[in-house]
Amino acid sequence: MSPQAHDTFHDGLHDGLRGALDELAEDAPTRVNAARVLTAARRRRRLRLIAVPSATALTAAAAVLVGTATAGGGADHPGPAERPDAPLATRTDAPLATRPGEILNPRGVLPGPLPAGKVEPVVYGFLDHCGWLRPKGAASASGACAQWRLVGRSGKQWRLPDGVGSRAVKPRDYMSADTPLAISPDGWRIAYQRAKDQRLVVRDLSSGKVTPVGPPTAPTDVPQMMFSGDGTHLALSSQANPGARASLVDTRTGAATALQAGTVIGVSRDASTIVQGDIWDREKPLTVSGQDGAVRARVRVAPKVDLRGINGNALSPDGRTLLTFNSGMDTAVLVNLGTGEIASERRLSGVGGAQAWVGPTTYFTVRDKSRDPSGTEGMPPHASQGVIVDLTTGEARETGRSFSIRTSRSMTVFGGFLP
Amino acid sequence: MVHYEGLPEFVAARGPALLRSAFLLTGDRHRAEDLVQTALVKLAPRWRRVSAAGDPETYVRKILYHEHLNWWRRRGQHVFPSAAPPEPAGHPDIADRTVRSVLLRQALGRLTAKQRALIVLRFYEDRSENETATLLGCSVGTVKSQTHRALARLRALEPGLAELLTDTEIPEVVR
Repeated sequence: MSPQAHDTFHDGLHDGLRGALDELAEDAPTRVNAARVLTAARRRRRLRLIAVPSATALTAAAAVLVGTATAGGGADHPGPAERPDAPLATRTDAPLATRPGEILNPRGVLPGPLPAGKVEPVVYGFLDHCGWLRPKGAASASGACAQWRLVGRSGKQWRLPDGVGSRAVKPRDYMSADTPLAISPDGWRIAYQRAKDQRLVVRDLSSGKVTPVGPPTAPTDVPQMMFSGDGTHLALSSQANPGARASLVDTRTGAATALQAGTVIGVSRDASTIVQGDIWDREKPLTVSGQDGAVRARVRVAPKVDLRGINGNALSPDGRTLLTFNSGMDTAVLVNLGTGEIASERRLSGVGGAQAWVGPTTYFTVRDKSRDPSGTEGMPPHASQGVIVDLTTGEARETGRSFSIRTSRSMTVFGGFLP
Repeated sequence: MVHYEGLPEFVAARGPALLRSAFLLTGDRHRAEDLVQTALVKLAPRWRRVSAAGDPETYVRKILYHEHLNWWRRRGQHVFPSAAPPEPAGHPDIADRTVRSVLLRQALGRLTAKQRALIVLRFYEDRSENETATLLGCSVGTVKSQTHRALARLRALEPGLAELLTDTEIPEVVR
């Protein structure tokens, strides 16, 4: 906003409304695609130039228009990436490029490893255990098949070679278990367990820097991870022992701050406020702490509030509101963190559950888009799509591309939904 | 490309600010993107002349506001499809930024397109009455009276916003 001249009535009078409009505007899209603007401007110009008032010219112009539109479309939408048609699992050194709507794990192809340096933000990760590739009778995935696969904003895909993904459960190799991975809301950081020393690490994808954020841990004890909206902090809660103390780690330095005992259910955008609680126990108050771990308040939520609807980072970016859902998961319930009372409710159109807040009045969640498997030959693909739900209207809109994988068992994770 | 030299840089630099205004005008991310794109595409053929004059932003904002008003005129409606406000348990806590944003967005959505434009120009972009009048192509008197009505309507639509609007008073101008 450029500074403008003020008039008599204006000076100093409108801070409240202006501040509120500023907050509301935070929900606006953040980027205009200049290439799209130029393409549209050129097309508009071409259309004007070829609008000649004669039937012959009109016919010729139509032909030109079709030609140019086709050429323009080609420029806007790159053609399909070439993929090797390998009969068995072929590891490549290059990322795998997938067009929107295509299966991410085509039979017999494994993408190259994640480069050590800078890459684009990651929006999706999955473990498919090479479901198509394992020989009959082999229960657990191993090698590259056991590694997390990451999908960037452009659709490029890599393996995460230094992370623990799927693993065999000892002592008997009769099944696989998965080790979690987290993607920050802006997509620029991933947190995972490093294979070589079994430490939890955060990799900054803008530089390739890997920062250890925890001691060596057994894969079964990898904590539940929750990034702050800006990705600068990672909250860790023990999954095996909810009574254990949680911690907050600075992802840039690895410095950890001890929090109270209990599961972290919300971290504000800048990690200045952390909320812990037991969503299964209505009697227990929530603990609200600052970034230094000091307890600021213990809040008892109203009896009507059902925290069991929380399944991600429930805390609003400003750290003042918790988002949960009613038992039917068809109504979003906003809880004032200061009082524990319900601030407002919003009926939703078909999308319940939230992964994290996106803006002051919006949150991100995932919608299943798998088609009816009946009539499908072979294994039906599992498709999911990120959506952003508007709390002012209850409406959901799709964001980013949908992801389809074909496997009998998978673990998936979304991220990078913030601009 | 010579035609549009400097335009991509302008779009990158000022696009986000334009999107924020457009979002407040339309209340919808997709419409905001469309509105800004339309305005920039209309700016493009005149880019060389406008940028040489030194203030392309004012020019494109003028297009933006006129497009916004024209859209609603063409659609034959002047109010957003209104979503029912959330049913709060007790009074909503207006100090809560999230609740405030929800209420404000809903209330803005029930103003006319012109009233929304006035609110955004006067209280978000901090435009003077003269500038607002020039941008919208109306008189200063119209700006004053319509702004007064817009604020009054906001108060009536959402009493929870009264605290925000307490100091936001402009004497009504009898026309």
